[in-house]
Amino acid sequence: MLSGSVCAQEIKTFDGSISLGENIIGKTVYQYYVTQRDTIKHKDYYFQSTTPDSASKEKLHGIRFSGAYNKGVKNGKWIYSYKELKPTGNSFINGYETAQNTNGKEYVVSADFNNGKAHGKWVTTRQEIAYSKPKDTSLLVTANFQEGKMTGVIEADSPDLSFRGSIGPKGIVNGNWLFVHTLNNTTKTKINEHRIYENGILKKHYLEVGGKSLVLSHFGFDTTEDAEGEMWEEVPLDSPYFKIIYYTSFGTESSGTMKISSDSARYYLNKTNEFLSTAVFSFSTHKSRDIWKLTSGSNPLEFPTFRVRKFPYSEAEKKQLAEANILLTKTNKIIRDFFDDPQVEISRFAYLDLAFYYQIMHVYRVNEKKLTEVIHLFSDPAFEYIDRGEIFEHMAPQLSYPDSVAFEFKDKKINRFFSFPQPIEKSNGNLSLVYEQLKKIYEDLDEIQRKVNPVLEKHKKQGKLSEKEEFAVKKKDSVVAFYNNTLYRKDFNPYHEKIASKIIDFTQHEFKKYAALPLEEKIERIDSLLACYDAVLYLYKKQAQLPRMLSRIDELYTRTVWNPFTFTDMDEIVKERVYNAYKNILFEHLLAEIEKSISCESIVNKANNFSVLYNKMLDLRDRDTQEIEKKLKRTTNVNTIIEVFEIEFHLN
Amino acid sequence: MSVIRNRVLLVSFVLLSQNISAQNVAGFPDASIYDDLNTSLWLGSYGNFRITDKFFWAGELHYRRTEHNGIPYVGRIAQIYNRHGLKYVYSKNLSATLGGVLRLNFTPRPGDSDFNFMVTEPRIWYEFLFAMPFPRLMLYHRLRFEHRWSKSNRVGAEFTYRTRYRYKFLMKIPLNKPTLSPGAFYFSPDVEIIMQSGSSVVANPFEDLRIFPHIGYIFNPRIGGSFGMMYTSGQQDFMGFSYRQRWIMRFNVYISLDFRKLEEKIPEIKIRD
Repeated sequence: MLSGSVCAQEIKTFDGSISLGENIIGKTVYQYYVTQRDTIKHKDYYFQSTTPDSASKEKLHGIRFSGAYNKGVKNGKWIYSYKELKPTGNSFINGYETAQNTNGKEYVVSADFNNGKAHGKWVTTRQEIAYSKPKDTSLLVTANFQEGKMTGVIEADSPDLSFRGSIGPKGIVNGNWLFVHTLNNTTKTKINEHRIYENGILKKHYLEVGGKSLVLSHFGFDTTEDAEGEMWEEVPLDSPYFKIIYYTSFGTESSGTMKISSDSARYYLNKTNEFLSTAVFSFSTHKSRDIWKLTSGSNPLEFPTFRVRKFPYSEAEKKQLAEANILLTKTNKIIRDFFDDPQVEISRFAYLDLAFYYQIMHVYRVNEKKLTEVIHLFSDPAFEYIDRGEIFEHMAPQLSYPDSVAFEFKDKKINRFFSFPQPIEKSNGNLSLVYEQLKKIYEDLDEIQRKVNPVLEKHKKQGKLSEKEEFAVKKKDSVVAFYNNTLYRKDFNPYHEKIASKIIDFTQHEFKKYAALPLEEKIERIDSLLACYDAVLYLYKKQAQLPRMLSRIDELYTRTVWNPFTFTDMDEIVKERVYNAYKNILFEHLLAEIEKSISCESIVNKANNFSVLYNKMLDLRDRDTQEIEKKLKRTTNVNTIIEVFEIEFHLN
Repeated sequence: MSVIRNRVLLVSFVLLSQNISAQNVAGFPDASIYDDLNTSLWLGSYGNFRITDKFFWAGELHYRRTEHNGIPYVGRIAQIYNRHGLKYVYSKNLSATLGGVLRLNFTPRPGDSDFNFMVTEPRIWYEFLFAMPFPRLMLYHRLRFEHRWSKSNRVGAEFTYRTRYRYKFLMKIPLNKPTLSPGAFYFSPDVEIIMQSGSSVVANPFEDLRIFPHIGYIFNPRIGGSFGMMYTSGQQDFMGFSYRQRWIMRFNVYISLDFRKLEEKIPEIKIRD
């Protein structure tokens, strides 16, 4: 695979597979030499990759790089080519190979480098392929680079938009940038958009339609570098420059009978910005990949910049903006929670105050949405390049509050006063007033929420009461059926049977007690009644586990010994005193405690005591119990045994 | 060869004696003679001590008394009997034991200077014990072989060598429990036949038949006990026509201890989920 020729350095050729980036695997041939253990690419370089499309296996993606290196850096002409082709028609014989025509598209960047820096004329072409022949060119961009920087004239052409602009030697846009929008390809109706730059500053922006000019106004956007102390910055092409241009654009100045709306103006503006971005970055980016970073040995391309004036946020503005965003989150949540709550929709027809607050919330929801837009704009980093005092008049929220709230309640029209805040005056507004307005809205919403929530909660509970009562009856019936063994459950055992009548009496008694309560108390009590029945069912479940627990302990405390006289296995209890104390005294004690008194509060604890005892016995099996057994020898008293076992039962 | 031939002829003669007139043989009476019943008391301690998973140390100690001077069962000391062996438990149904016995035989005539007060009787023994489990009982077959060197207590008596062939059949039937487990009383029909051979065995190859039905009790897996009356009968030495008869009251304790280290016993603990 390696072959070499000897020059000043020994030049070798690599011919094999490599991966460019993370997943472009292909065949490469390049020349290189090794110095100080580093591989230095030198002279020709070629890479070709072909991969099937993940969705359609017939479609192929091909990437090709070809060019040359000089001592590790790109030098001279380079080609990046991307093809996306799908076979069409029948196969045919071509020499000794079979072939097939293809449809698809091709993207080619013809580049030029000088010692790793872009230099000379660059061309990007995007064209459609039909039956293996180029058909339509959908993009053609030409530009010049000098020492890595885009300078001179850049031209771009596409079916519906083309432009020509110039860039100064320092990479700053300059002169008249003409964008031609082709509205109709057949009639060749066009709109010319002019962006006049002077040393990167947009001086004039206008449209030419039918020989007449329409100036596109930008408010809060400084076009004159005329005062001391102004902060002017160079900003890149895309963000935030395009946003600045977009935000500050508010329609056109009328020219005679011609006028263009803000929306139309912004449509063309956006289209231009997008195309400009596509054209300029076509040299470096394709399919979200940095083309020239895939292969080593070149500096990043430097694209044209613009100059804009910066209006830094004051400390007070920064603070208000941060607080406004917090308030916005809170108010949004209150409004969303209120309107998302189905109980509101039901209860507002039954509760007068709620109907009133519903209307207030509605007014605030509309106005808060407008304030949100303004605060989001102010929070955008692009707004630091906009004179916020000047632009506010044009972007001020159109707030509107009624003097009183009109609504219908039980077929009656009602009008009630509510003290809404004063809307912000367009000509006198600023961020501070927006913040104050939002603050007032939040305070009102918070107050309303505090008044409304208890009402809603009460209505919710009432609404759920019948549902819960139905549930309680089912649970009660389950308890009775379980303990009466009318279901013939497999897990019903003598421990259930022993306390069945008491449990059933208790269950019925609790239900009767509940049924006799007035409605208000029922709302309060229903959850605890359900919890009580759950506790009884929990006791049933625990009792169902008792035979298994006992059997487990029996097994654990039984040792099997093979007797050589009888030739049989014999079982014997180990730690007999511990086992007897557990089985004959403690276990019986726990059963007796349940029988003695049953209450909602104590059932779960009493049921859990069996697990406590069980776990203790598991623990004691593995421990040295000599001392415990000595103490057990002298007593059958349950309290003493509990003490000796160091066990804590919860009997209440 | 002539000695062996004579013995075979003698045995055949004894076994067929009901068809052949004894009067034709010099010195033999017309009918077999049964001695008066003798009574004895045997107190036995049986031990099986586990030393490894498969090996037990088997140790037996008997203290035996017999009637004398009109005192039944306990008139005089008869024997002290020490039997030890190494038992290999092949499976829960089969074991084999090999060991030695040292029996001390006390004088049948206390105070008679023609008799030694005590003579020793060493033996080498081995046995095979087969157990057959049934749902409600256990059945056992025991084959025991003993090489014994014994002599009379009479002063000047010489040791004679004999070989014993013992087959024992017994059952253990729990009475108050379904299995042989702690707290169980059991009934044990126990029959043993002992044959012998040796140069001194002329007309008495049938040494003993022991019928020993007894009741036992299992205190716990390590300790048991039994009591029973054993009837035995067999040919007297040098007088094959004469049959000894005995009633022996027997008390036995059975001790089984595990001398293994604690961790080796752990698998015996039942832990099932």
